[in-house]
Amino acid sequence: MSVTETPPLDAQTPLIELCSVVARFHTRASLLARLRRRPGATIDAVAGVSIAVAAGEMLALVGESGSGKTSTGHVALRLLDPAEGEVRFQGEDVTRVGGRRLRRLRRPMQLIYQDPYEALDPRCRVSTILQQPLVVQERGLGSAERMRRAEEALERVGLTPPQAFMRRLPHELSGGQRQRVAIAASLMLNPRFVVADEPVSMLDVSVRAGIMALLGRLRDEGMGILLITHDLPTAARYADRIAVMYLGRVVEIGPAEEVIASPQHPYTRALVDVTPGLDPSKRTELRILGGEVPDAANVPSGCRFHPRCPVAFEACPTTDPALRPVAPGKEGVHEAACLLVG
Amino acid sequence: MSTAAAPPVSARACALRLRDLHVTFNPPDRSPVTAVDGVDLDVRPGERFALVGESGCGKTTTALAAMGLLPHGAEVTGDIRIGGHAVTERNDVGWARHRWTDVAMVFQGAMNSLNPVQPIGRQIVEPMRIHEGVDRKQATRRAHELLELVGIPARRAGAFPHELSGGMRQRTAIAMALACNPRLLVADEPTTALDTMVQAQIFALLVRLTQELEFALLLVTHDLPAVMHFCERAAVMYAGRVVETASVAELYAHPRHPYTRRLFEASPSLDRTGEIRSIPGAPPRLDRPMVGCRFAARCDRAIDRCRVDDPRLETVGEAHEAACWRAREQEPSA
Repeated sequence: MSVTETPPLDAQTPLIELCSVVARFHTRASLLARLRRRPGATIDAVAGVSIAVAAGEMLALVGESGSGKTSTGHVALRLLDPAEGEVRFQGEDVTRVGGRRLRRLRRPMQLIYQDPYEALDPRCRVSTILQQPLVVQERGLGSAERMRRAEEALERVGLTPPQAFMRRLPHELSGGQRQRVAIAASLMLNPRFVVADEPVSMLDVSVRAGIMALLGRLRDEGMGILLITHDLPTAARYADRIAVMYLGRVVEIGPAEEVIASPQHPYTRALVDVTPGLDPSKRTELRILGGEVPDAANVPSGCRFHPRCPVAFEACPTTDPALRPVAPGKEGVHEAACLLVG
Repeated sequence: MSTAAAPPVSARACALRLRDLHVTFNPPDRSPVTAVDGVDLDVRPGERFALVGESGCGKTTTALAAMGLLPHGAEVTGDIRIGGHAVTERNDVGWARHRWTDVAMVFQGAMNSLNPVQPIGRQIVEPMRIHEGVDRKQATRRAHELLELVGIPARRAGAFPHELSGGMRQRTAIAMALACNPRLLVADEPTTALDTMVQAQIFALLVRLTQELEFALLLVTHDLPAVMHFCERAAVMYAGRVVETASVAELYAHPRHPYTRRLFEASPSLDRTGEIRSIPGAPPRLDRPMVGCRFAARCDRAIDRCRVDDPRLETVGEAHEAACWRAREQEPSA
């Protein structure tokens, strides 16, 4: 009883592809502004982002709050409609898909939330939580089959023996176990693509590695994963590729090791520079950028990073740089959006 | 069972000294929870000391107990000395003598604890007026100095909290805590909810301030890289106990407690390439009686003795203490 009847992908087509997507929000004007008949501001939380995630790949979206990484993830899942640009799933344009087709489209896509304490209904037992997606999406299944599938999912996320967890309520689980149940729930419909939004930031260090290793295993089994995180070491360690976002744009994208070892965009370099290592004997002065990420309603002209950039020059306030390969032959592999690159 | 110290610091001179601190909460209709179970701690003048551990290990409770800020009903026993003075009178009057002038605190999410309807300058003036009786003019001048010191232009003194970014509000909270020149600043997760770059800014600011104003910092946090980078010494807590204390360099290079070692192994960092391993299992419940070492059930080096006898902190090296029966053995090869 296979769940996904979609045909196998040819190797060339990415699982999910965002092409120049823009996620636009309209803020409500203040009372005074409305009395003066001034409209509210328009904010592009995501301002022209193109990324692709292949099957069996983990792409990390890294950035500070307000960089648009969560909105990008929501656009990829069609939880947020892009104002411009295209969303493709397995090569098919799904930007405008709605209604029943959208519901069917979402079946192979899942979201793993940051907070395992809020993602699970406190009154539902684990078995109910796990069976819910099947009740909604696969109405024909009998309860014995649903139970069997729920136990299978628990085993897959390392909660064994599954029978020991099925009757538990969320408060009877530790934080790490809760996140495992949340992941098990998202596995019930055998998704091919998962957006994991800060999946370990609420968890203790000692259990994070287990959750990340689990995501790595799912990736190895062929799942495409978009990992959203602000933690550079986590992205560096577990992702195949890293895309660094700043104010709604991808400013650098490339293989994880390469982006960390030789960051090309000054913002990426700054992020790497302020990430303290563990070894106190290798302690170096952190080069810390001043200022904070500007408000998305007041985007700087030209390169969005120029007011904080330590190497900005006269062209930066006027020219908005596009992603370019960091060296010949790096097209589509390692690219950065900086006038000093390439 | 004194915390090893090099050079040794007499009890009088410590910025904060805790001996056999116990904190027990008595929730109605449930068994009592001993959140802190016999903690010894010495924070020396001017040093940056971290209390590090995972959620529920008792680090925040220890810090709050040291300032008399626990809710009524929390049972606190043990010896607390602040700036060399024993706090014997554990009531509002007794604590008021120490707060702000001897010890001040920056709370978790302090940036959201500012008064929203008062300009930030005035909020810094207030503790000086109340606790030191400084006249308004002088207090205002000092408030402006403090703002500049934490990186906020004095002309912003009239700004309201909502007009400032999160980082600026956190700087304001730090300026306020320093209003009465405390000898010890307790900072509980001072950078949670702040962005990577701003976190680094705040930590760097705290380091600079401890050097310029010569106060000691007790940093309460779960952020191991921050501890390793910004602090000088640290105590690792687990299940209500300090399990290891040493300089950060010594902790990193020669961790003697298996929990400390496993914490490092569980933390991804850009400067370490070894395997990242989680620690199986979960900390013990603190509302049940415990036998043996509290970490034994999760420890890959536990022997029979660990499950029966409760190890206490012992000197295992120079200025290095650990609570483990096997701490003196040869370190396992990494």
